[in-house]
Amino acid sequence: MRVAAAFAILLLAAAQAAASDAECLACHGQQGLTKSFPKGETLSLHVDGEAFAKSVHAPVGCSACHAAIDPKTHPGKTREFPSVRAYAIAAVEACRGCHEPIYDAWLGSPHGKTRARESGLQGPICADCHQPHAVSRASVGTKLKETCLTCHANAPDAHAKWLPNSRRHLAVVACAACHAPAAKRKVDLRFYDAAGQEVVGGYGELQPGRPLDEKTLGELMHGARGSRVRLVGRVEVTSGDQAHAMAEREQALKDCTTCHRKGAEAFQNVTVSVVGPDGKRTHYEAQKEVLSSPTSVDSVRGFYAIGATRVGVLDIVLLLVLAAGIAAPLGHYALRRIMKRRHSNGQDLH
Amino acid sequence: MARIYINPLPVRIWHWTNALGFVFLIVTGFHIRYADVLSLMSFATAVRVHNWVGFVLIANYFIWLGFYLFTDKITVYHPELDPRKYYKASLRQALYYGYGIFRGDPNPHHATAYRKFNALQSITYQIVMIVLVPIQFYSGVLLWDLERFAGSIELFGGVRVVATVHVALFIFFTGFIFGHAYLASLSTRPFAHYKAMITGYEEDEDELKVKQRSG
Repeated sequence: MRVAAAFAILLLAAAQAAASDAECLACHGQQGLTKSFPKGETLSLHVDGEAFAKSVHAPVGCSACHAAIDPKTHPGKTREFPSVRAYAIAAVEACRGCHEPIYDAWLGSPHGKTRARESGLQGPICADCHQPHAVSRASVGTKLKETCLTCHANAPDAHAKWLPNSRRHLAVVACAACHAPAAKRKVDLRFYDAAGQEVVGGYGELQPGRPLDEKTLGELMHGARGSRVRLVGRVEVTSGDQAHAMAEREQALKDCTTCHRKGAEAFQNVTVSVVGPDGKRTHYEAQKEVLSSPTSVDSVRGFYAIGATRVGVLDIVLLLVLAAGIAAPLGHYALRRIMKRRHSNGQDLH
Repeated sequence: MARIYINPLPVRIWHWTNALGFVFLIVTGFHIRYADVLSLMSFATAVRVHNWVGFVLIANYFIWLGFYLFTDKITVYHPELDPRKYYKASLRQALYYGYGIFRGDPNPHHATAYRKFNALQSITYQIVMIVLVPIQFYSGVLLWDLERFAGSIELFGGVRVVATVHVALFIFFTGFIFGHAYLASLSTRPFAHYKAMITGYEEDEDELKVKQRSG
């Protein structure tokens, strides 16, 4: 009964938010609406209604972040800001209202510290990386890496100087996986088509509940063979607040064996995820063995981390080959010596 | 004493560069795959050395290929086209290694400059040099830069398939090194074949045997 009541309240709130959002978008959905600042700067007040409807902020509506605006008096005199930047910084408080743990992590990171150190205006704030009116879950797509590179443009060259296969690392390892060293990491497997685009809706039927094993995944990918859909893995951090707890550059993970060893923490937690037509990503838990089982070499052929996801059977074969490589020559040599001695003893007797 | 010039200089340069390189590749390969077990060097150093040595050996491979393609010594790799003859020679050689050698029988194969390999060596080296080594080099190059060769990797079934082939061949070559080093010692004198691969000259085994018996 209580659940039903809460659901009804939520539906009502969502309906009200949608109604008031439509009112806001009646003006802010128009191109050309701007706000002027004392230094002559202008800020576009246009909001792409379609992008906003798809964003994770759509359910909470405009008023959740713009609570200071009173629809009855708007557009009237509002709080004055000296610059666009000052306005954006003030808006961080709105983010903090819902994302407090992330805000705290960001504040302790070099990003947050730079802002505090440099008169409050420099240093990245939420809106610099996340488009507030078109924000999607950080785990959707790889747009965030591009966002990092807009400021850290020299990062690919800097990584190429010391990191083998640096371009592949930058493609499949989230920046935070190394630059937030305390974060808990995981592998997320995603469905990609032959053109390298993520398949919306994934491939085949995935059921939540029991973690996916290599047999189920193998059957699923066997059906995908004709469509040339493949599973590609990404190393990510498990939560948003951990993703924002960036460390100073010197503290970023540089020890390859953090990941490239058997039992590495990043490969203990595996999910298979699918982006729905609404842009929302759904994660399905998978057994960690899908990354290293000999029977999943084909189904998970798009992901391999040297050392960490090695196939155990090959280790056994290597041990046997090593043992045979040492024992066979030793045995053959010993037999030759024994036979030679017998042979010469026999000759002596004659 | 009869001596045959069996290993020309380019072959000797290729062979020892290859041998040393393969030892480096195997040691660094172990480090890359078993960083949690071995700690002779850092993972990054192992990868760097592995990549450089790999490229040196690819260049070195062309010394071998060039020498045999452009000289008449290619006959050492000529296969015996009569399967019955080839089967007989292989069986004879296998019986020698598995039985005759213990009785002190003579090696059924007599090396010459143009027929230096016995039937078993001939087929093994052909498979190794024409099939397995190129596959190992090629898969290594693909793994060296996954983004640059993403198309080829996809064509061969994905990074995990390519890596598994590379590791399977790594295991084969690890075993091969042991077997090769031991079989090379199976001469009348234990280091005669090693010496021949340094000086180029091989002493006649029968003559050596006679010398050993008389001396």
